[in-house]
Amino acid sequence: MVGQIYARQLFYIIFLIIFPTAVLFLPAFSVGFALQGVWISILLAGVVGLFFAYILLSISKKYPDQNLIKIMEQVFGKYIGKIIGILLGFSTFYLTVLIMREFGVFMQITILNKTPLIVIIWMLLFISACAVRSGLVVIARLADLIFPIFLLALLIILPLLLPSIRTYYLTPVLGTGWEGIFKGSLPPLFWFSEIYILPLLLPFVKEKGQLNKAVYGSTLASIILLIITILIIIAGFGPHMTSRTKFPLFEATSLTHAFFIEQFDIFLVTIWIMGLFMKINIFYFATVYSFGQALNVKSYKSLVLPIGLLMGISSYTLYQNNVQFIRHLSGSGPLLLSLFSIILPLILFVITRFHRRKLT
Amino acid sequence: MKVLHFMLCFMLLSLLTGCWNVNEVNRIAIVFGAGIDQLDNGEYELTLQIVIPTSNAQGPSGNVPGRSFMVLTKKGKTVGEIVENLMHEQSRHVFFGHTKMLVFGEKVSKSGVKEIIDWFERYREFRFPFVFIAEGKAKEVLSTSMPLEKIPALGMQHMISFRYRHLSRLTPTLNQFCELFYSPSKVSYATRIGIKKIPKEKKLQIIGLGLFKDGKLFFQPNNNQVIDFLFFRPESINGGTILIPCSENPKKFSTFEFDRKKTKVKIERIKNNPVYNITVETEGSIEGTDCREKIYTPEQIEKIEKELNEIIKKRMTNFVNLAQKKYKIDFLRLDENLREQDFSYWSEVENQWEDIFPTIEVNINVKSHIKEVSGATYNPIQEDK
Repeated sequence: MVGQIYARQLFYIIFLIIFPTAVLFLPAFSVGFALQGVWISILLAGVVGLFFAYILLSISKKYPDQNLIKIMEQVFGKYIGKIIGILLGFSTFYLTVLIMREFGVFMQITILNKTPLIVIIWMLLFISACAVRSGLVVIARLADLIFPIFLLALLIILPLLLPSIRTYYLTPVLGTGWEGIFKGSLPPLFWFSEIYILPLLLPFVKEKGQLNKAVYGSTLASIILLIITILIIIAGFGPHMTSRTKFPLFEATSLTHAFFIEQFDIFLVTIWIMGLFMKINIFYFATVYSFGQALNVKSYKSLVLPIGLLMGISSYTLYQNNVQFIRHLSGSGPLLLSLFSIILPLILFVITRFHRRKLT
Repeated sequence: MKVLHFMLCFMLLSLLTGCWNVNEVNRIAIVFGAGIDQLDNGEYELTLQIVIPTSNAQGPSGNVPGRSFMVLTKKGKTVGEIVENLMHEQSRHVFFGHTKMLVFGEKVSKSGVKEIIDWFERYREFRFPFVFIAEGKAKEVLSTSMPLEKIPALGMQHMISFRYRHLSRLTPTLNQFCELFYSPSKVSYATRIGIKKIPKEKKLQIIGLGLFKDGKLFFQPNNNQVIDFLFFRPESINGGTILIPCSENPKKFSTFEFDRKKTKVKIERIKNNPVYNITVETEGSIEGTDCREKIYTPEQIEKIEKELNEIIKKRMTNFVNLAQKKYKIDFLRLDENLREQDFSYWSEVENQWEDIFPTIEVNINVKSHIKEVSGATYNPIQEDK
């Protein structure tokens, strides 16, 4: 056992899995399809996201104190389970690579314009490797530290955007018809499905009684905050500009001013580094841990550095330029991931649901 | 081990000192205004208004005399090229992060700002300045100083963000300009600045609005027409006056000043044609009268309200006619209301809106409310009756 975390920390972790990258990239992807109706899209995706949370919880509850890899070994048989476990490790590996590149793109476009991508990524990776080596407990405590700062900063920045909002930007809601709304709900759906690593983390939680509260509460909180943030961005920035700019929240923040302080965008970048750092930590840990479990490695710590090296290298060699990356991120990337984040949990859910006897 | 940890932490501190492309404050030239002109040979001319920091510093005996800003110009084929070349002439990094105003010359506005706006939108240092159109050349506007302000660009910013000017609600920042520009109707607007030439001196003034269709300037309403434009827009009107002619002498006027305004657009469909019912509710006060009639009676106020209704209605009708008959362009953005209220019909006519717009029926209904006639109960003119 690596240690135990509290339900409160799980709440923070789930929030930090979904929210930080979603609010950065989602507006540009989703608003392009749904325009002002994007909040309906997110709401729809959120409902499905809550259903995912239910699936993951019920899988995990059927096998308490077992992590996802071990569950799969019991459901699919030892060898097939291990193979799927390794593939799952690859999926989180890939996801981590995506997030790292997201971080790199974000930093390059916003503040560190001329810094090579390699520097940005390796610096973050180094700290992240330290955190992952220290274990989930340390990551959870980091979440304890970062979540309040993150939330507080968001609650400071969002009201500052209020003076620049124009309510007529928010209508017509169904301007693109239901087709656009459904299309717009796909990107947030992929984002909400990123909680598929939950069954890996749930066995670590000390207070089993509060699992439901933490998981549903956190998903709900990120849905609500996401909707509020996107509505404020659209109202302040206009739907077409939101869909055209790469990081609408960042751009919109440069409109803010309070008293004599102007241009909070740099402030935003600072807290976003924290958010993205947490997200990378969690998925990095999930990768290393699931590889360790599937390969029966004594301590997953020996895997941290080699896997980290591979991640670092692939995050800047996989894509030749940022344009290619963004195209990938808005298209085929999530589809590939949905194999593990949507289809695998569904299969597991169906099997565990209809198996009368408890598998041993 | 502990020593090693400590040293590692200490080494991490060295990362905090700075990053790759660090620009110290005293190594940058801060741009406050940028302007673009088109030359006859198709090249662009970029004009930058840059602060001279030393002259703005506060010494013990007040300000250091001298010019507080300088103007740089450079010609080139693209904006990016011009900026690069400008950097070669300066001892400091030309920094665009604090640009407060972006001015398009008249010529470039007429031939289309589509091509050049891209650079301003993309350039990383750029935030969102206010967008203006110059009457004439942008270069002239940017090199004109303002007597009360050290940096004219900042002065212009104060001028348009002053709350009680009706244009203050309309002057778009770059993001709003682009938002209008990319919306389905492709009509956007920017505030126009003119230069008033008094002997020995030049003076900046706001002279109205410039309306763009698809990035091309086509109509330049003056300050009075801007109020007409605002009647159709959801923005409120603060400040701005309307003159009401006296009943006994049409050459003398009472002045009505706006406090607020509300526009409601209701669309009915009659025989497959949209009919617009626009209701405008205004609220304000009479700020003085040259008329002989007493204005401080409820009956008289009612009468003036009615007259005001008629005046506003007439002005609005004229303005709609201008859009429908003369320009045949929906610069009032009535299509947005249709899209909002009757989406199924809108999606049918979306592509032919240009043809349909000149034929639609617009009914205007005005409700004015005068809530105050200022402090005095009698006007001096009534005395010499």
